[in-house]
Order: sequence, then C-alpha cells, then structure tokens
Amino acid sequence: MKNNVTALTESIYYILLALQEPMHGYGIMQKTSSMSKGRLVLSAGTLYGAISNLLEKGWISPCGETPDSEGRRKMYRITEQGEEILKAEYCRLLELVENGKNYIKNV
Amino acid sequence: MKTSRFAINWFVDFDKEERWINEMSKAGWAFWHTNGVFYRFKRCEPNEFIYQIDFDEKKTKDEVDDYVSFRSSCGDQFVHQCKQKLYWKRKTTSGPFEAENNVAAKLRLTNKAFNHHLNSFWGLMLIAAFSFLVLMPLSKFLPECGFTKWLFEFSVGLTYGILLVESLLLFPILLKLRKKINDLIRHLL
Repeated sequence: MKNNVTALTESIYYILLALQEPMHGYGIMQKTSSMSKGRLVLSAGTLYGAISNLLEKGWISPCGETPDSEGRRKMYRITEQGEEILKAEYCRLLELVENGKNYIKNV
Repeated sequence: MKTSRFAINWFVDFDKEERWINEMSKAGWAFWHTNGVFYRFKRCEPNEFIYQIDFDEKKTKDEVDDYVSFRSSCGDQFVHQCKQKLYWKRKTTSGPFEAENNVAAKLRLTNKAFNHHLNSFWGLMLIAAFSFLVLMPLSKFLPECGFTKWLFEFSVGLTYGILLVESLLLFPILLKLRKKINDLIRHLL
C-alpha cells in the first residue's frame, strides 16, 4: 500500500495532530480524548500498535524520555514526512467537507 | 471470611475464558494467576475490575517488556502472562478497555487471537505428523519387543488424539474467529 494515497484512520489522524508537540503515550490518549470531546477514546493496546506502525513508516520519531519523576516514559514527535502526510490528509478532509456542503441539501 | 480461592478450568476459546474471569470479578473474586488449568483469585469488591485477554505476538522478551511497560504507563494493569496470553485488568470505574464502536481495535485483537489459535493448530499438527511419520514406522522397523508395541500404540493414540482435539475444539474456534474477522471487515468498508 502506498503511504500517500490511502486515507488516514481517525486514530492515526488524531495521533499525528497530538504529536505536533513531543508527547508520551498517555499524553496522546488524553489529548485525543479532549480534542474529540470524549468521542474518540484510544486504548493503550491500540495506541501501542499505531505508534509502532508510525515509527516504522517514519511519520513520527522517538524524542527522549520523560524525567524520572514521571516514570521515564518514551516520548514521540511528528517528523517532516509525517507533517506532509497530515497536511495532505487535512486537504482531503476539506474536500470531503466542501463537497458535503455543496451536495447535501439543507446542511 | 475467605480471602483467596482457586478454581480448575480449561479453555480453548479465549472469549469464554475472558467472560468467565469477568464473571468471577463480578462475584468479588479478582483473578491473579493461572497455569492454564489452575486459576487463582483474591477477594475484591464485586465488579471492582474488568479483565482483558490479549496475545503477545512479539518475538523477543524485550519487545514484550516494552509492550507491557507501555500499556502499564497508560493505565492498564498487567496481571499475568501464561505462555502467549497476557491478562490485563482495569478498575471498572475507569471505563472499558476499548470503546464499543472501535471496530479497528476489535479487528486487531481478533486477528491476534486467530493467529494464536492457528499457531496452536499447526504446532499440534506438527506433533501429529511426527508421531505418524516417524514414531509409527520406527515401532515397526525396530525388532519387536514390549517397547515397540507400546510405541506403536502410543503413536497411534497420539495421532488420533490430536486430530480429534483439533477437529472438535480448535477448528470450530478458528472458523468462529474467521467469521468474526470477516464481519468486522465488512463493518469497516
């Protein structure tokens, strides 16, 4: 599967959004939940798989650990490639919304 | 009042196992250890925890450790590992493991379970093949004595036993899991 043609899943989109600043796993879960107003709750198991995938694709990269006082959790942040993917997805979503506005009656 | 107890049970289907452990929790018994047959529980508040069974498909111990420490740092409590099965618990008050509507997450777990059962299936098949193709001919090839007679009966029993277990227990579960996967995929499309 080519990376740049497939649509992102909702979880991946939110993870990339959250990782525009360095963050650990639990932070991503909280941020995602607050951005979607509690609608999208990521579980730790799912998040682990998603992060491994994103690391493999090079869309995010590790960036150190939280201090000892916070339990030395691994931190991640988005890469340049990830940013491009995120922007492309944003444009795709805009297109969907635009078409919705134009073609759905009484919106 | 008793503060701990054990129960003997045996599951091929992890769904049933998970449901049973959760039933025990509702009755005030928190699962904490098993060797696959012998289940041990400690007293807890009724319905204090919910449990999830997960399968580790990572190859090295480091990767499993990484997975366990990641999930632990996100609020899931690691309970126990028995072979490839990982047992997790959460306070019931902190909500379910996965949102009910998260089809992709369910698909991931079901797929893991399918792979796990498929591995057991092929593993057993390999033993049956060894018994049928090596042990059985060997018992005929060696000069006849009490041992070869025993070996012959043993290899026949082993082969048929495994085939019986696979067709009666494992195969239906594989079919069930595959059907579940197909249903989930249809949901995604």
